[in-house]
Amino acid sequence: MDTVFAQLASQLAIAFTPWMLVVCLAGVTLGILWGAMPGLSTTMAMALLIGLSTGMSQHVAVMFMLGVYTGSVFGGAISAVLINIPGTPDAVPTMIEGYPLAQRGEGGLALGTAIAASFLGNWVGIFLLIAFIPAILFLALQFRSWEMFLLAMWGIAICGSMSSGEMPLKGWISGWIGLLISFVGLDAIHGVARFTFGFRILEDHISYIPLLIGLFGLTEVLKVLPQKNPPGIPSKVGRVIPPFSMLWKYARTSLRSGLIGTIIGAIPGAGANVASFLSYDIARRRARPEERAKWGKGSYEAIVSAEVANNANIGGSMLPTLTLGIPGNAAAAAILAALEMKNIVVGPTIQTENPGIIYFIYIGLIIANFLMYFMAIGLIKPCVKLFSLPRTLLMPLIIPICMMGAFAVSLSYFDVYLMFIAGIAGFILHRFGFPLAPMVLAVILGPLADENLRRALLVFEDHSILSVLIDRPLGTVLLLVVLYTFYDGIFRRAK
Amino acid sequence: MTDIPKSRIQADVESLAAGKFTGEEGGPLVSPGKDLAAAAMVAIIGIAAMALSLDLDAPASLYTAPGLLPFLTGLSLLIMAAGLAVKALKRAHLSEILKAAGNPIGPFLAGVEGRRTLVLMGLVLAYVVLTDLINFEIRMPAGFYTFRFSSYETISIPVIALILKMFWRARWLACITVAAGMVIALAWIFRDGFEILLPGSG
Repeated sequence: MDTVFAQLASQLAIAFTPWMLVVCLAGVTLGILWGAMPGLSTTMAMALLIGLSTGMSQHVAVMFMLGVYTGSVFGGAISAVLINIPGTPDAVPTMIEGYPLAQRGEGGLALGTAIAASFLGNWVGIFLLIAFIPAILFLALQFRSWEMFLLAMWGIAICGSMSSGEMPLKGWISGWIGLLISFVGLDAIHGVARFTFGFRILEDHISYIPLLIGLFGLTEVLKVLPQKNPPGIPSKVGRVIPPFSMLWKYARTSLRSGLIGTIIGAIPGAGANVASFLSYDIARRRARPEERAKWGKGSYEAIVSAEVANNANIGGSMLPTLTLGIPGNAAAAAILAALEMKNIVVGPTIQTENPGIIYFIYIGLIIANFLMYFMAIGLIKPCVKLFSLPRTLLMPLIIPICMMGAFAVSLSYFDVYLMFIAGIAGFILHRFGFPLAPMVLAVILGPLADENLRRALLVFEDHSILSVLIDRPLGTVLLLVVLYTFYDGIFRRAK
Repeated sequence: MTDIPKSRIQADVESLAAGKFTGEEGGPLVSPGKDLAAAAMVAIIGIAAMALSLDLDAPASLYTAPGLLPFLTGLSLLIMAAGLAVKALKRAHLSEILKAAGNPIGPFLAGVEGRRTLVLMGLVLAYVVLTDLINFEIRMPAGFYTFRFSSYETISIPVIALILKMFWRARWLACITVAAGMVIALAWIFRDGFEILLPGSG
């Protein structure tokens, strides 16, 4: 217990230095402005800023990325309410409800509700993250090779299901292609070169960071820039006072949405979009008839349901990322990349290998949440001015950032070409309706799955299948979960 | 074959209204023709992965063979490709798909958006190749600060200005000013602020 308090105290001392607060403020501000700009998603912000974080120290990089993550998830609500274009895809429900309110002159109140709901949502996510991390870490430490393999495969399978909605098959295909990419290079057990075609540079494996930058940075530029988009016309903001009294009125909705957001966040592949959509849909079904009548025409309860859920998702997504090394969503994959580049080993041994870092992440999320609350109020009016900038001006400026980010990771031009190829591939995959997140997740989890499967098979060489199923109950449960994920995707979703 | 997908926002609004689950990356279903073409491509990838896996050495037992999981992955991809093809054929008859397919690239190129996308891809490729091939850095010490200007800025400014001119359609002077301001600011943040080496900086 003394160690816990000592670690907590040392991390508090690091986090509450003026420089760290400035870094977090910069991250939150950048995140809010980025998220507010239509077409610039949270994942894109996170992917592009990995490059910048290479030049930062360990704690600074983590604080900066957490600030960007927290800020950008909220930022989407500003343009959703004021110009009827969601800054990030998870702000679509907020747009449906917020824009009619803005047209009635209640834009300020709608945004105030969104800010307060986001603040509350973050708290729910952080609280549940802190509450569940010890239990999941304890469970994860019981995992051996067989369980680790199944866990990695479940991560890829559920990510495929959650990413592509109506066609889980496409999500799985994307994930399985990612697995093949992860096999490129020298294998970890025998050192045999796989899929390298004689190129020495491929023996060192394909880094997922340039892939992440290409798939979520360059692909977005290629998707959005050639489209002709009519500019949004900003509505009047009015006075923004975040109304906590309204949240009290919708306390039950807030709590339910917070739980939904956190649980969805903890499921690999399901991020803020699924969280806000699901929470919005459930809240609509559960709303009182007089409130339900307002749904779609400007309902404050609907805004609360969506904004609490998408922000609670942040804490939820950190849960599998930190404890199992499985990113909760693509944005969390960028956090994972930043952590790994700073030699922080995530997974079951995070506490022993990086003492105190989990506490620093809790503190970082709490600081970022407070800063988000105040900056959100302060940045609404500057954001309205930003909306007058066309996407055709902003998007070309992303291209040099993609290039710098990809190069900065290992100062290799191979990574820049890889980023470009990933960008083109991502564009083609998008045109054919394939989600991209499962591919990145599979590239991250592929080596884990490969190494652990072979180790497990070696251990089980003289065992019968039945004895394996009986002797390893945790593995059997995981196997059933994997099979159910496929069953659900193939049969139930098809209906 | 090259139907223009509905906008993400539009598809999300419709799915929310219908209470349907569209997944984290959302979007509407693409045409059966596209699914069938994708299935063929995925099948080729699966077969290639299986063939390459069988070629790999297995220094110890089969259980630790380096090609084991790649082979299983390739096999699963082949099965998934078959599933995707079946789903596509359930949505439309093969003859309809082939009739609708016609020239798969032509309509994409015929559309303004398609042509603009291809030009953009070409420009980004040229940008990547040029920064790889041309490497120099000029240093100008001025008292306490050393001004640095590398091939990165030299290449980035005209390329980004050209992309801005094509898509933003402002005057050349505005495009060059924005591109120069942005690239120099970025270079300064990365190189001086965070001491990160830039592409093409020698």
